[in-house]
Amino acid sequence: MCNALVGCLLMPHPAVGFVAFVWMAVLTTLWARIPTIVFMRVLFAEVTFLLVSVIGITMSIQLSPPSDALFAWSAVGMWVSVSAESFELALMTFARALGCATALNFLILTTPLVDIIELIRRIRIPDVLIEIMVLLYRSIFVLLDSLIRIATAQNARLGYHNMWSGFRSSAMLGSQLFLVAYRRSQRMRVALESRGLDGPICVVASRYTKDNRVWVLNIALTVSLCAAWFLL
Amino acid sequence: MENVLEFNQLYYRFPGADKPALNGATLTLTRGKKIVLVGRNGSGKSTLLLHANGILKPESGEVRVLGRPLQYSRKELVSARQQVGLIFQNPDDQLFSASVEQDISFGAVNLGLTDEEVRDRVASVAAMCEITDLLDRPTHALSGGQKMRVAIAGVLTMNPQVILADEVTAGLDPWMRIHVLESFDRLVKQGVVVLFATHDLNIARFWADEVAVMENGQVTTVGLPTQVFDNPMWREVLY
Repeated sequence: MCNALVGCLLMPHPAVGFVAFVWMAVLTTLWARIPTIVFMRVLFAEVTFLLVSVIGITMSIQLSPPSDALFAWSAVGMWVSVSAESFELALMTFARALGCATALNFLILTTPLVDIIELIRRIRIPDVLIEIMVLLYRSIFVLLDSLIRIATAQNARLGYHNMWSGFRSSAMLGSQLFLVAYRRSQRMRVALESRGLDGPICVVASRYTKDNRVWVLNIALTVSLCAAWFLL
Repeated sequence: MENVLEFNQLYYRFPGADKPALNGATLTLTRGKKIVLVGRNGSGKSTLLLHANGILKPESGEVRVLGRPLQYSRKELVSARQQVGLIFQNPDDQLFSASVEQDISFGAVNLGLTDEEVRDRVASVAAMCEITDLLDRPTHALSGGQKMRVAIAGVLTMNPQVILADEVTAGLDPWMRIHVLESFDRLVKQGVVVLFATHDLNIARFWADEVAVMENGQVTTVGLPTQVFDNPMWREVLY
């Protein structure tokens, strides 16, 4: 995953991005056995966002007729054009972002946060950042649970029966969640202290088994990205 | 019988409160006993438990752990917190890590044990609490009962002499409640003292060796369950 990401960033050629995309799509769906529909759904959101951004790069609007445009349209006294340069730039941005996004999707869809935390711990990210990450991750679920309970209670008392009550209830929900988060953080501090917290939060490291296939796949991926960069 | 934990004339008032939460609370826990602490909401049960391992410091009075007065220096608190384990009503307040194994290991790692010792403790405590199959699971994916067992296991890895459980069976189904109580029974057989604060009077009547009643920040009576529940005066306080 990492070499696909780095490859896309360091080798500025659309082919590299598309090769990385194909690799990551195959690895995610066939090797990691993530359902294709899940992969496509995640990708759809990203590609939609990407296309909207790329359209802005591709097109330029000016008052005078463009001299070097591949396509140009005139409307209400203005010229909308697509030049060869902007098209190339848009294509490269799209391919590069697509390759990076699918590489990140592979990580997100296949790797539990515990393993990601273990990885960043091993690469010596400061403890304080890891602690924040761990506690935030845990808090997401706890607060989500509180959010659902409060919203259900509000709904049961017609809290969202029209737009204005919905606004009011949402505001109250937000402020209440803040209080819940604060109280929970206090209680968690007490719980951690009573379990001997006296400095950074330390837990036992996860153990992993080595899989040589990962190395083979990594080498093949890197070689194919370099080949796309040199040959195309 | 050896006195494992003693609260002597504790007085504590929360900042800004009119009334003291503890007003001369005195209670002694002896080894090998299951003590249930009962009392109405606001009677001071949870506040008393928070004094046991130095989370709260009394304005006056003294806490003694294994016969020694509790000191509030950093080093002494670490030692006291190893001896006295606290389990809270809501396990979500206690579980902080992304995986069960890491959460359970937290206390043992804080004791400065080696990696192998920590893993051994985690494995034995997980077996005892019957959560070995949950070790690789993320904590947010557990049911309420499973979370409670993980929270208990997290405290047990520190090998405490005293377990203070604050309403830990609240919200659990009857089967899980029995499971938790059986876990405590096994600990008591190993010589651990269990002090269980609860509103469940059935637990107090049928499970406890001793019942302590709290009222207005004081421990007003301690005795056998039959003595407490058959006394009309305490029955009125409890019901």
